[in-house]
Amino acid sequence: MKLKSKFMINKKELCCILVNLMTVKLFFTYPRNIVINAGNAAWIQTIYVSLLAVAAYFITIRVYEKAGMKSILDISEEVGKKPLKIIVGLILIIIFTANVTVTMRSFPESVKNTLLPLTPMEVITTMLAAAIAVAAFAGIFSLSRIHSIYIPFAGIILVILLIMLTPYMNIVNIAPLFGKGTYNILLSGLEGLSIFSDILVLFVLIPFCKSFNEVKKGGGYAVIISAVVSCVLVFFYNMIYANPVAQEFIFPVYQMTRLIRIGEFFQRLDAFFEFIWSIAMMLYAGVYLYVICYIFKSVFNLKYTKELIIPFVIIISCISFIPSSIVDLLRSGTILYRISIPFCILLPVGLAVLYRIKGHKNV
Amino acid sequence: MKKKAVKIILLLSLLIQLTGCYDYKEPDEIAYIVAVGVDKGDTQNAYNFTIQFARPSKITGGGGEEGASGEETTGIVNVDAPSLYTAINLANHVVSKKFTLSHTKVIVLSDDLCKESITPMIDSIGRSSDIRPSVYICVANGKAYDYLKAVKPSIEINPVKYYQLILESDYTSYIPVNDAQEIYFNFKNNLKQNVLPLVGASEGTQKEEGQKQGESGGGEGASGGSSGSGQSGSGGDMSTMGQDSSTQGGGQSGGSEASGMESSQKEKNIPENDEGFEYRMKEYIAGNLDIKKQNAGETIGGAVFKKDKMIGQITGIEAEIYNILCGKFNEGYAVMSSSKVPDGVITIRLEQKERPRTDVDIEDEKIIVRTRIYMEGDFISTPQDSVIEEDILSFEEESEKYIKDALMKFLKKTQEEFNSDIIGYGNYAKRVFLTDKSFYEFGWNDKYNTAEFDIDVEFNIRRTGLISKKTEGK
Repeated sequence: MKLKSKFMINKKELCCILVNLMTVKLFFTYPRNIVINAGNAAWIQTIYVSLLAVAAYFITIRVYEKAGMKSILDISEEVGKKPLKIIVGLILIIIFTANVTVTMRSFPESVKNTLLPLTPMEVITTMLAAAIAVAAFAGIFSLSRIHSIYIPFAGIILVILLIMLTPYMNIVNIAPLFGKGTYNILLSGLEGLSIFSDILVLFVLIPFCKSFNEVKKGGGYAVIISAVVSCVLVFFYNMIYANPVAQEFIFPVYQMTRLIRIGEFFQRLDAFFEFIWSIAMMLYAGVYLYVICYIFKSVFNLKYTKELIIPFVIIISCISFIPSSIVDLLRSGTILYRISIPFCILLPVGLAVLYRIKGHKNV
Repeated sequence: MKKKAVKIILLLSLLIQLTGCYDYKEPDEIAYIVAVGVDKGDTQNAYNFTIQFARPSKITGGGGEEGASGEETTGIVNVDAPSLYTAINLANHVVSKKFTLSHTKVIVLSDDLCKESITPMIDSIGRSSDIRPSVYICVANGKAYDYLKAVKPSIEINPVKYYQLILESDYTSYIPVNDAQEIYFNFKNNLKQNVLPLVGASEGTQKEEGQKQGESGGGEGASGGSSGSGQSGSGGDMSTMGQDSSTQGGGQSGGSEASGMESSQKEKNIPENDEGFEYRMKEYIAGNLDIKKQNAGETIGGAVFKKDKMIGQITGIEAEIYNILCGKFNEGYAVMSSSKVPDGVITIRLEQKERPRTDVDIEDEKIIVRTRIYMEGDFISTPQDSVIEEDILSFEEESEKYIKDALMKFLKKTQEEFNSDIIGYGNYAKRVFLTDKSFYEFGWNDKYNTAEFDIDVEFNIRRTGLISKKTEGK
């Protein structure tokens, strides 16, 4: 169902939102996880999963085309009435909450590790929670505009940082070419698809967009840009840190930016990265919080979204404290991503197929 | 009205931000650690840490009349502790300001410690976000405390700058170029064994300083007494901890120190290199220089490691060769011999224009390492009665042979004496294999000493300075 609003998300804004959702995880442990699985061939695995993700996106969007401007919740209601809508809504809420919860804990942990070692975690998390609550209060349209301004700027900073990292690259670091072997790259490597799992948000945001063509193009660009960013980052990580040392760094991209040193005066540029990363992270969590509240509202036919923001941000913040340590967090994060991948890939395409079948029968 | 009140409350709440965050640190409440020395402690699993910290109030004016001399700009705390951070924790009880490692430039490990294992220190370096990846790790030829105590830069006021200029300049080619990040990387990777810069205190100055301290009853702290570095104290407890500024116990005058050096110089018998490359240069090693100077700290040569243990030392000339093989030699002055002037030496400004091109071939367990080295040089001085310029090609060919011989001799030493792949050819050998498993099964480090080297050196003289000599009549 298309919303009646004079502000709609356009192609660029949608693309920027999705790029941020998919790439922000790259700055946490994603490159490390890929290296743990594939060794020096992590970059090959990333190219492989990126190609799969792009293919999966275009297949999904082709199948979904028939549903037009209906969100995933709308088509689940049409396919299976209210019960299916509630089930799908709850699945989405669980997946999104899991995603944002892991990030809500990882980010303060990284800040505490690198910037504010004395500040209690509770304070950092509360500040972050307040920031994302404000972002969610601003609404999806404000968030989409901020994304469209901020993401190109962040992209430029990232490119500059990567250029500065080129002197630290060493081609010998990517040998042996197939790292831990082709089985790890091709089969175990499928869990690398987790970074693209956030594309699921697209199918919730469809009613906020101008047209399906904009959705298709915005989503397509986002998947391609995210694929390129992930391949480039993992390639840089592989070229700079060979296995096994690359398996150790919890925040690989931060670790790389720490290396940058141009002469005597250009040092400690990791602060730039932290700044860019912090804002991207807040926007990421803000979008997720809004989307979770929106799904909850839609599923249970509530009138307002904003009133749900505070309860949900409190719930998310509390859940984020469940892992007792960063080791626990890394473990639970990996498990959650593994569980969520099938849903993220199969849910939209499955529902779209069912919608097509039902539509065909009705005709 | 209600909305206004909410807005005012929100605006007032912003004032909280002005108070700063939990982690604020006033610069005048922080003591910046410039260098850390680590020696073996008296008890097992204990270390003796020497913390050299900057005294910013003395570092003023950038030098000259306003600034203090180098020796006054640092202070030293010596403490026994099981780890670096516990040492800092203890030291924080002695010095009023809070120590931070964020500006630390060098970590000096004693050779005794390195011969056992550097694993605990390396782990701290990799794990800590305080310690920058660009920190330099050196090995002291003797005690780390002695070196840090001996460092008294005479023309550099800022101690950080002193270490930086010594350890990372393009023209100090007699030390291996490595920073903490690379050392950690090599340590974990185990395909390129580490070679760390060797530092030391000149022997003459130590003796002199020891005599002075003996006369005056040592420094302020229990650990201040000469080269005993606190390890002769009661060991392991707080009583061994003492604060000591460089001016205390170490007071010296340039003149008396120079005379002390002269007396010690006579005792030293440093061999001269008789190979064609770096001809007649003395084979110096830190702590054994016969150079007259005020600053007793010396940085030359390298400490060779295999995994986590130090297994040998290399001289300054060998460190230069190591840098050439690793592609980290930027520029420096080198001395060449020539068959045309057997008694003279030719000084050239040597430059490595390209990184070495290395390939490793493995056929039937036979390892062949092929490296191509490209160097360029400019004449700086030639013997008065020689005209090298007229047959520059033969000089180039002869120099290529000398450089190649020096490189081959050094590589043989890495195989026969060290049995340690310090150049990192293992990283190139990886390319022959398709998977990690097959490479690790091959066991590169065990087979390194069977490798054959095929070195191709290209050397060109580019410039002859401001003159180009010609034989009269030609």
